[in-house]
Amino acid sequence: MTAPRDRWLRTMALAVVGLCASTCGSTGGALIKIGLRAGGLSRPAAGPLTFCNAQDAPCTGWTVTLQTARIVLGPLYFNVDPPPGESTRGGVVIMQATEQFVVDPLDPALKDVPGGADGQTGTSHYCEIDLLPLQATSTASAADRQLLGNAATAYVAGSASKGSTTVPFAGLVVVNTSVATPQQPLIALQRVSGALANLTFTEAMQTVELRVDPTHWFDAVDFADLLGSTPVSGTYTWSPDNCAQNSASFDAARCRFQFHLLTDGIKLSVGVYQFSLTP
Amino acid sequence: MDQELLPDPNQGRYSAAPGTTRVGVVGAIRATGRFFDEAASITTVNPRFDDTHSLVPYAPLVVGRSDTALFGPLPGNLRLLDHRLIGEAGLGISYIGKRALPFSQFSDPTLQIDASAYLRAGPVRAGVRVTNLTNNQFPLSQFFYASDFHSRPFATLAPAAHFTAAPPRIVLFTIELDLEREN
Repeated sequence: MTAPRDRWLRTMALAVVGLCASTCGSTGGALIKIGLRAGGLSRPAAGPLTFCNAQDAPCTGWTVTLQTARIVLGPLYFNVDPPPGESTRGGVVIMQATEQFVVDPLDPALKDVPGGADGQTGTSHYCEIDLLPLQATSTASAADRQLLGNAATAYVAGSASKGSTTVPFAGLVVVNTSVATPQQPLIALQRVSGALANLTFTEAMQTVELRVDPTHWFDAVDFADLLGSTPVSGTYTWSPDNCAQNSASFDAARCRFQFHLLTDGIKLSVGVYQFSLTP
Repeated sequence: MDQELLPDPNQGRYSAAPGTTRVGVVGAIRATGRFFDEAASITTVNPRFDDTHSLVPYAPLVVGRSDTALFGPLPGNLRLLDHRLIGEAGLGISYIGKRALPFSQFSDPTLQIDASAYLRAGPVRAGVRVTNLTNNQFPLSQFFYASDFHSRPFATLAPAAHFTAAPPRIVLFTIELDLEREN
């Protein structure tokens, strides 16, 4: 025979189990949707940006004054793991921003990216940033579309000086898709593979912010590579044809200039793309 | 359970999960009579992972089921083709309480009612069976994983919610001929 007190305890335990079964706890984590804002380097005002491409003082490299810059970014995938290789995606993407947007790296004002970002709570360490030509479906101003055309990833214009040499430059940055190989397919060519993004996404976070620092785009660039060409209206420029050996426009120096600007600059995983979260 | 396979939203497949402890209560009743049979049960459980003490996903926290059957000769000594009419009616009620889902989500509780009615006259039996009598629309299964159904301009790689819809109301008519000789 069960004592009344034991029966009472058992009843209460069962009641607690039953109550908890319908009310207590969760499985942890959450699906979240947050805003995404993007802009240029944080500084007091928009306008031309002067810097040393050797990142030192006094400047031992080229002193670059960037007058105009645009870059097409997106989609963005925040990953908990580093990319397993350039030619494949991998890891676990916990947050994504599946829109393409244009950033003016010379304008510090952060602008909302339509669609924002969505995914799950957690901590990312890397962000894969696709560098695709501006798509017809993407939101971009008419001026940006005119500037970038339908093949470019970025546009830069300004001047660089070193000693008595001054190089006015302007041109589009185009990912050369003709050099895609099985080892380095388009997916590898057209993305920043693993920009550092140590971010802890929680339900309390409202916005992820991206700032683009264009000063590192030119870290490995030697503007002397442009001097062998004929300036157009006083400005040195380049084109993807400079890298096509069977092209009349083939120019190894300007091809090298574009390679360093893209591969060792725009696609840098450290320093160029700075992420932060705001509550 | 010290080892278990559970759907992993980040892997997109079942993967080994740490041990779980499930404390619950089952209550069941059965009542039978000359013309009825009733079986009902309710189960409530509190499933937790042993390490984090968070809820185990996909385990319904409360499940209830009732099956009621009525059977016997129809009143009034009704006959058809010189056989006495025998009726059967059934009612099944299923209640599945909210289920813990990944990412702190919960499914809505669902209530589904199934019913059947048959008439038998000698070797002939005819009837109708209806599942989801109220045509209740609800997600039958809910999963979370990364998928890309080209719903956006660019690939979607982060986990999202997916569900399969429960079947709508289904009405099945049956007619049977029993060729076995009656004793």
